[in-house]
Amino acid sequence: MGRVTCDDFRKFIDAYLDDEFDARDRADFDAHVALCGCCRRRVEDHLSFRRCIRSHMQQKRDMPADARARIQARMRTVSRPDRAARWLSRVAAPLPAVAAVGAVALFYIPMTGFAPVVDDAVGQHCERVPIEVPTPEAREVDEWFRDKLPFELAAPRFDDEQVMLLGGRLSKVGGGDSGMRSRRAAYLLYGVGPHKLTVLVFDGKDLEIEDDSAIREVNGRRLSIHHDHHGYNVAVYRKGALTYAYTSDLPETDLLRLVANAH
Amino acid sequence: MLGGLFRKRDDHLEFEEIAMPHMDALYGAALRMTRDPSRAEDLVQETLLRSYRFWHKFEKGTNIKAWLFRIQTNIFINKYRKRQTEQAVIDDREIDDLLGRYAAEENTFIPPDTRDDFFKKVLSDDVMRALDDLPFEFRMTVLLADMHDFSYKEIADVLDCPVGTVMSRLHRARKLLQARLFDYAVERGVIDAPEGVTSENVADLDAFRRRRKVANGGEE
Repeated sequence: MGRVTCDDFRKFIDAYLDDEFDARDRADFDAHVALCGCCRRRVEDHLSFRRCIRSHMQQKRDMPADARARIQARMRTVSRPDRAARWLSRVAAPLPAVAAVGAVALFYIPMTGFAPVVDDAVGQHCERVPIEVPTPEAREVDEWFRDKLPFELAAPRFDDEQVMLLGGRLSKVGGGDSGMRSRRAAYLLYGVGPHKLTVLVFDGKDLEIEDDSAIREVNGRRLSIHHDHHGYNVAVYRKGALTYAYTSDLPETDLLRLVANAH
Repeated sequence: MLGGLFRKRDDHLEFEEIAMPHMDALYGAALRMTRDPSRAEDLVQETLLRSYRFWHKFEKGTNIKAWLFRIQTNIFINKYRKRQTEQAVIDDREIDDLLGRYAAEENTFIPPDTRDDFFKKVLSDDVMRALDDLPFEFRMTVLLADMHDFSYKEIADVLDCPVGTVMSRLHRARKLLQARLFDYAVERGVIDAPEGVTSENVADLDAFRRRRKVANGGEE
């Protein structure tokens, strides 16, 4: 950088003190500050301020012991290396029986490690975005989505008279490494008495499956249930190539019963 | 698809040894992101779960802390930030106005004779309050630099912005922090406001906005 002026020093004092310079530039700045009382005072002022805020910020950084224990316990349950193998053996057991039937109409795989999808399902459940096809007729909804999605949608039907389809809209859902919403999805809205039920339907066959949730078997179907930190439950299952994420503030048992009986 | 299920014991141990020691650092940042201990805990847990899931994508030998912070920042932006009301978010123009008027390079608005006294009397709560009042990007920049010793390049990677933006934000964030701390100290009466520089005109954004509104004929 050559000879350093006071103007240079003012402009680059942050980078100088943040140790962003190479050795040569740093030496030039060191030489300047050694000779210039005004800039030396600037350095002292900056350093006093930084020491002050740094010391206070450091005091506040440690995690409470109980929070640490909870997270460590959670991580132990997730990352035990042999757990995946045990899980796979549970899933694999019914496979021969299913294959023997010959006509596999529905094959449910418990979805685990689904955090980005769960995030999106709850996030979209909480959003107040208008629906684009407001109708209680599932066939009309299916028809509206035709050619708008890279898959054929059949909106879930329920025999429970309390459940009423209210409509749907196009959406996107995250998943994968980036966690960004990039895959096209159908967002379906239902009323269940005073409760709201939303369903995201998308092609999620490429998503990595890992252990992050509880597995429930209801009505012969294996589902995974995710408890959002804000009180919502998300039940996920896969039907063929499609993934369905049901989100509601309904109690877990009620939500699972609905999902397990959807057709 | 199921390949990811089979984790080697080495991976598990490696994650515990390399990633888990950064839990405190993640929590410190999460607390300043969410401003809520319960949400901060949730955020750290999600960060570690997601980091473990994508552990095979971490390039060994690179900066693990920066990698973890990048994941945590992405989760916060994509999830938590949508649900919480950001307080006192000020835009770049307002910051420029404030700094241009009261925090020019040669005017640090803390008189030399009170500076040492001022730094001794700053409270941790004041520092945290001043930090929390900064816009998210400014808060994160100063946090990563001054609390976690990240380089400009690492901060740029975490926040997904150019290094020049990091430098600009850091400079302005520190000035704003100093202005706020001075403001609080004057409010508490621990230092006297010098003539012409008062707690009202240094960094009181509400007062500043009120003045702007009047100046703009009532329009925001």
